[in-house]
Amino acid sequence: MMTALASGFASLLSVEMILLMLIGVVVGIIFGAIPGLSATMAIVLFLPITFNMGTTQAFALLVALYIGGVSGGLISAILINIPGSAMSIATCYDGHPMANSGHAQRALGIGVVFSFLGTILSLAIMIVAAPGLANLAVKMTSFEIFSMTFCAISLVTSVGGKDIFKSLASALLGIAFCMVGMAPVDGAVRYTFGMSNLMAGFPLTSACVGMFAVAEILNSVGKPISAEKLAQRQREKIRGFGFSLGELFGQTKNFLISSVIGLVIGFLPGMGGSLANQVAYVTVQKSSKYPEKFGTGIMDGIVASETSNNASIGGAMIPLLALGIPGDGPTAMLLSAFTIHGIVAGPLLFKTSGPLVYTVFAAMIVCAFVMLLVEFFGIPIFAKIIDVPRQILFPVVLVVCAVAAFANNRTMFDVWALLLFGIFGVLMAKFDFPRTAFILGLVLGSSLETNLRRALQLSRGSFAPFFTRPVSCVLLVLAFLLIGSAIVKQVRAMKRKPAESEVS
Amino acid sequence: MKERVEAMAAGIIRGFHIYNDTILGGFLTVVSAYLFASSFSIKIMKAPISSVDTPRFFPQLVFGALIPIGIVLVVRGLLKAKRRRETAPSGERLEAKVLALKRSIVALLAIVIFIAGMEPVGYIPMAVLYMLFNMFYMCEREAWRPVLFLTVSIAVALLSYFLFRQFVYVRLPAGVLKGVLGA
Repeated sequence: MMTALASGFASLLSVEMILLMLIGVVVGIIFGAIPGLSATMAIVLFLPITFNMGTTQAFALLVALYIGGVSGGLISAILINIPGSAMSIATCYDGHPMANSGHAQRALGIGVVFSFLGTILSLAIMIVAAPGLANLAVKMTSFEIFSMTFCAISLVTSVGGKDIFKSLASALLGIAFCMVGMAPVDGAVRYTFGMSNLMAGFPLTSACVGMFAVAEILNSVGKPISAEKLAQRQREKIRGFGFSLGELFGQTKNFLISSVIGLVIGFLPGMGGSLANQVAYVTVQKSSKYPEKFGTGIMDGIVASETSNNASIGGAMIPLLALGIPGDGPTAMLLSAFTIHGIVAGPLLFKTSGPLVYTVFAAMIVCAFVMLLVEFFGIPIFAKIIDVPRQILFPVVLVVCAVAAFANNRTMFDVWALLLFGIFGVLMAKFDFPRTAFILGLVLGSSLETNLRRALQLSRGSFAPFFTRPVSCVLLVLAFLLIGSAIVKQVRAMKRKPAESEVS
Repeated sequence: MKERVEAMAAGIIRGFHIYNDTILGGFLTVVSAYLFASSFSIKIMKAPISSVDTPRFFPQLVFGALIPIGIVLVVRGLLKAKRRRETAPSGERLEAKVLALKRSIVALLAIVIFIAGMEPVGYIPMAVLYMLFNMFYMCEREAWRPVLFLTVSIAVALLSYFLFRQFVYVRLPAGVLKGVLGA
């Protein structure tokens, strides 16, 4: 294995290859940073360009786009509180408050370093354990995948919001929006109200960007910005990445938890970084000594989110390489690339194209380092975005988001959907509904229903196997315990409040 | 007329503050009940293996769960209403909220006009107009920089149009500039 990996590195040691990976990472970062564009879109656009390239060059470029794209989302999440994609939603919670308090470069530095470390750890595990972990993934049936998805939603709703009833309603609303269009399994048309545009359902990109970008802009026009507020912010001066070695090692537990979450969620098909960052965030918050500080701009929040979403890269590659089953959107495009280049991903890949596989591993490691360097030198430049006056920045951001939404399917429907979800996002904020639970429901609703129906088909309508299969049973019991305990806690808090007001 | 509109807005804001959970819970309950009932008319494409293996089951599960949650929110909202009445905004705070509401509606209308005009008028003119309007609207008169705002609006509109066309292969609506842009 080490010999094969060394050969992989050797095949990348040319000016042409390094330049290709550099371009891929930079373009990937740009696509990841612009809300509405994504790593998946970057790979789709560059796929035709790779047709005339050698296999090694093609995959080096595509994995560079993947790694750059996943990491790039932290830039807009931290600087303008608008996630580049659903993979960086949780980065907004602490990244933006830290940037707002005058530590934008530190926030970016933390995000960049832990993105890099999360990628490297997950790649290391992927290289060593891919076939073994892939066998585990095969044993997971629809019962386990449904239970895991349900448990993940329960975890985020029970911990992520102040009010469990509103969190649950928010998640269920997200799932409800997901049901618009053609049903999974049998393609029955639901809730389209005769509109052909709704046959494919609501576009996820428009929903995610609209809920954050449009909502942010509508919230910021409430009061005209005064001329005094336009004074220059004090220039932040940082050394290195903006934090000490002591702080780095202080995040070891957080880093390991988030990496494992990212890796595990990454290798379950259909989930990926979108779920990983939120589950990691709430898990780390729940296990923290100071959970009340999350959301105020602490390092832990950024570490959890960025480690997990980048760790999901290695996780998503495992089923792709070992089984030919993509773990998320970008890996689905990589699978297309394999097919186009005449390579069959799956159990025999390591035997038939072993050198290529190890070259891909080597390319991913090199790209992680390239990403670290590009983003390190880019931090002072990215941070200047926060100096741009809001009345200039926000209209520009909205226009770019509208264009990105249009670019997805080349229809105005996606742009209108962006606005609709923007209004929804504003209303949700006014009603104290957590938007993240909604987005999670929207992202996972389809997977939840598909696996539920498949499972029920296998069990001929019986729910018993959900509880007789050990992994599924444990996950479901955990999910119900989480929701139950959150409801009990809420009811007790409600009873205490009227009692306190009577005493006063 | 202006006073009547402001009074109405103030009433809505106060009412919303006092009864927001009740309003929301009621809306959620009614809509969920309607959609739950609608689920029975979803076409079943093929003979199901069991009664739960249909495209109706999951919507019924989801909307069925939303109905009791909506009812809980209504009841809770009514119980909290008395306490919320005491903290309802008034005076200057209420005036600030009314102003914020008016400004948000204007900003929203601007976005609607921008999106509605993208196809007939074209992306570039509408983007320039939208960005220009918003830049002036978002800040006080003393902070207006007309030349800068115009330059940035035109540059962003043109740059985004050509970058997306050349590199992302997306042709944004040309509208009235169809002949000019070679679309």
